[in-house]
Amino acid sequence: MADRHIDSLSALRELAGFSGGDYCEMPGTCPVGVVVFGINSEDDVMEFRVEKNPSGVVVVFPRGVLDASVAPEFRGELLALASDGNKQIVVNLSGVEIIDSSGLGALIDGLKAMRKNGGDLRIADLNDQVAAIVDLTKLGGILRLVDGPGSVGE
Amino acid sequence: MSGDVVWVLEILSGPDALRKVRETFDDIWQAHRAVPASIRTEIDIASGEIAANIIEHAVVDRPVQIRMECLVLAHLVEVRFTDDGCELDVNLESVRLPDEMQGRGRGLAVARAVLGSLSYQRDGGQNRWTLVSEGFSG
Repeated sequence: MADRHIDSLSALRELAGFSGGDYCEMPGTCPVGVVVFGINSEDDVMEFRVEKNPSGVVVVFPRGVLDASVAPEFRGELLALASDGNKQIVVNLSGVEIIDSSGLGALIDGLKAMRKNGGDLRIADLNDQVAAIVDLTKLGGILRLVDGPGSVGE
Repeated sequence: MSGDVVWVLEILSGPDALRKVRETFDDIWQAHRAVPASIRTEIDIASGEIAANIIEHAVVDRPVQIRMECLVLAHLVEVRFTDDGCELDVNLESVRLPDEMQGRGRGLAVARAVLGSLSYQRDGGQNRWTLVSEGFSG
């Protein structure tokens, strides 16, 4: 398994389909594909990693602050993953220090896009602040929590 | 707040405005360690939502000047945002969480839910938001 920094989001979208496997050290046998990229909104940078496990579950690992300054781009990436035909996305929020209503809105829009395509989006590994916001906004019923990190086999 | 203002941030609306608000509160909490974590979290959440609301909705054909004042007392934290953007049609009493599948419209409901009080006024061509979290003794 290899990490690779991607400069452009369009390149990420292409790789997120994981059709080529050229980012694996051993194409065809590598169990999990990984890409790492960043969203840069002036001084606000949000990095996140995307994995796809052998059963087809895409796990997204955003990091840092998921607020109004980066939510539009994050929403766009979730919609791109949905339009690529992925059926199961897990957003692992363990690396998210702060989320606001805009970040939650991006997750909701991603969920809607996934459901429209017959798929689903779930969340995993919430810290106390994120859990409090999800609870406060009563979104725990639809942004369902996955036990564990949401990685391979989960 | 006259005479008691201890923290002031003046910024223009823009991509880095939210980061500057967050960083200012990081400094404030460093200087006021007696403020309970629960209050800090409430103010962090609500201030972020209100600042984002100002940036999103008070947009005119020029950058909006935003002034944030924060007062920390022994039993409360009060934050006041003032901006010279457009007047907003806001009735905080009627603010509710939207349908769960809506991607937008939660910010004011979240801020109102976590704070002891939240108010909005249009005064002198400016929007004035006042956020108060209280109930502790520092």
